Amino acid sequence: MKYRVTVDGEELSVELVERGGRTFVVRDGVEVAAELVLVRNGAYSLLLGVESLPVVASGTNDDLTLTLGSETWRTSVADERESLAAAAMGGGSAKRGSGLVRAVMPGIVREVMVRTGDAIVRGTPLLILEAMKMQNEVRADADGTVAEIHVKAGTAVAKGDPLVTLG
Amino acid sequence: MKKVLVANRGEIAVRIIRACRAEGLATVAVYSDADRREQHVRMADEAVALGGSSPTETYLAVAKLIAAAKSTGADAVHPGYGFVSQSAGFVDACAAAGLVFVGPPSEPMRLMGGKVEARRAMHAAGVPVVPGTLDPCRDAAHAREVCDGIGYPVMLKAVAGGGGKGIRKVTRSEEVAGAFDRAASEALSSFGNGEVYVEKCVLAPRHIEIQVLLDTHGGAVHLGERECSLQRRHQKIVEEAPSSWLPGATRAAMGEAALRAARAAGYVNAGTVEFLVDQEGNFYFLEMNTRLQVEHTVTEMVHGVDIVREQLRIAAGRPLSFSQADVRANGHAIEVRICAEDPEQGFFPSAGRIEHLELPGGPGVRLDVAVYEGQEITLFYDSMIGKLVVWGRDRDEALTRTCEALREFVVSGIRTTIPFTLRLLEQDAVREGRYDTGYLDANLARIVGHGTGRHRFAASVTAALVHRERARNAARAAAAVRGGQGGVPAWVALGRRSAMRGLE
Repeated sequence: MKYRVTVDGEELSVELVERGGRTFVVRDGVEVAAELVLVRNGAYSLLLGVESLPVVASGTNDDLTLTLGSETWRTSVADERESLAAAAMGGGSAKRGSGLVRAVMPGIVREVMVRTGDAIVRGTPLLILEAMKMQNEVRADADGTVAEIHVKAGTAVAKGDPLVTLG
Repeated sequence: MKKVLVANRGEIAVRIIRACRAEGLATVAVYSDADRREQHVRMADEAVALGGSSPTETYLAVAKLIAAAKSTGADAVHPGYGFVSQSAGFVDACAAAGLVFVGPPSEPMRLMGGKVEARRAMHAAGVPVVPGTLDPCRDAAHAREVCDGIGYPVMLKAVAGGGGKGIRKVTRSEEVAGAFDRAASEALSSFGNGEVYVEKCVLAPRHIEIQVLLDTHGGAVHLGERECSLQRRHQKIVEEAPSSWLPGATRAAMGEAALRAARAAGYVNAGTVEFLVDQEGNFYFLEMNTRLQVEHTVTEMVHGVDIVREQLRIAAGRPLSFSQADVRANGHAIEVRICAEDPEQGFFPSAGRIEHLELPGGPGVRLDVAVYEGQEITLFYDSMIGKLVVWGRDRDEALTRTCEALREFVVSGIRTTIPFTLRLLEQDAVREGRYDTGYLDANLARIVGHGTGRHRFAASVTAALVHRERARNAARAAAAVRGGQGGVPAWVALGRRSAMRGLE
């Protein structure tokens, strides 16, 4: 099965070849065995050939954060069928920062730091959300433009409420 | 003194209970509704519910804390750090209730709590303070005159300021008037006091602090320095003892100055005198922390002293168990704060359940944590969930062991600062001890980024494998629900699905 994976904005194609109960991937033209076993919820052990890496995974397939050793990667993954469906929907494969930024916790918007139409890059602070007296910067997770701002300073938001739409 | 109420939670409450045990003292924990399952409640001999979950209705509620001590017959209270630890009002309330407060008297606490008062008192005691005014400036013109005299850059600071409010850096004479007015009006609206004073801006300083202990018999020792220059927006991230850089003569002078500062304030018990040290080795009094500090552990590791135990001895009216002549530093220790935060999202606090936990071990590794699998990390309290403290014979060994321990440290279910701190400690500048308090903020984006990116390919393969596993689990669960074609009873599938907790 083929998968479309974005790793930190870079789009990659990964093919998992299953043979004799094992899984193989091609790395630099050479086939290596790939095995991911679950240790406990969210914690995995990856063997890539004989290279051993501890992995912690969290999030959905659309927004999957992987920690491999000291490296943390923001990824998204879709299989062939899902990629085709997304392309048919007109989503194409544009991997600019598009989509809705939601509140990950209830709080009060203290400051909105961008305006509609602003071009932003990954990591640009979008707004400050205060929760439990801590002021937290909400940042863009990809490059793009600010399409719509759903809140203003003083707005109280619940977990999951839309904050900013990136286009 | 027989029974101590621990007015705190998390790792520091656990730490204090351990010290009480070492001293043969009984312990009382207090807890909020959210904390019933926490380790400090399970460890203490007795535990009292405070009712409510927010800090103000629990660990900050002076009347409830005093009542809990009285009802359990506790005769002393240890406040830990944070919460009521620097509340002079709480110290007075303890005294009024006949309870021993394990910490300083309220007068030095009040004195050190006032920036300008502390500055004036320290200057009078011969402790170097950052050059500037000891009194507020009369107006913008006066401020400009003073600034011109000191030389730029300077800081304009509100007397009542805090949390970054009412503070302005000024680099040119023409900017003084505008900055003065803004700092003053900001301070007036935020703190009700518009007074502003001037300090020289110490360029590229290092944050170095001295641990002191003073008993009620005139005994006073300093336990050398800790360096805490690796800070993110004035929040300490990594601390070490000794400093990677401080010249020996400066160390001795700072130790003496710290004791002078503590004595001048009438200080008793454990405290920390913080200094800014410039590149030439000039040091300036910053503030005194009138409590046990988070990073006391590194000093304990290199000096072989249990600081919390000494605090209890001092509070009970006994003399220190050692004198300055006994103080010897041995090796090097590093502390890494482990926080439930997501560095990728601007260090946003990360709430959730700890699903999987693997704690590091090995020679010299000490964990001051209160975490367990299944623990719910809430947003009610500080995001620090524990500290990794590592000792080595020298700085290189300590650093290598710390990095290895961070690699072994696995937490799933919440985001933590573990991978970020590992990348930080791998930076050449950190390895070589070449940094000041501005280093981390200046290099943050690069360090939060993905280091060498060695594992980009492995990450892509992992994503595909995770996707495949999830799809298979979902298919199996769906088949089972349809009528067990998958050979899995429906109740098992249901259990599996709930265990996935929306991860699909």
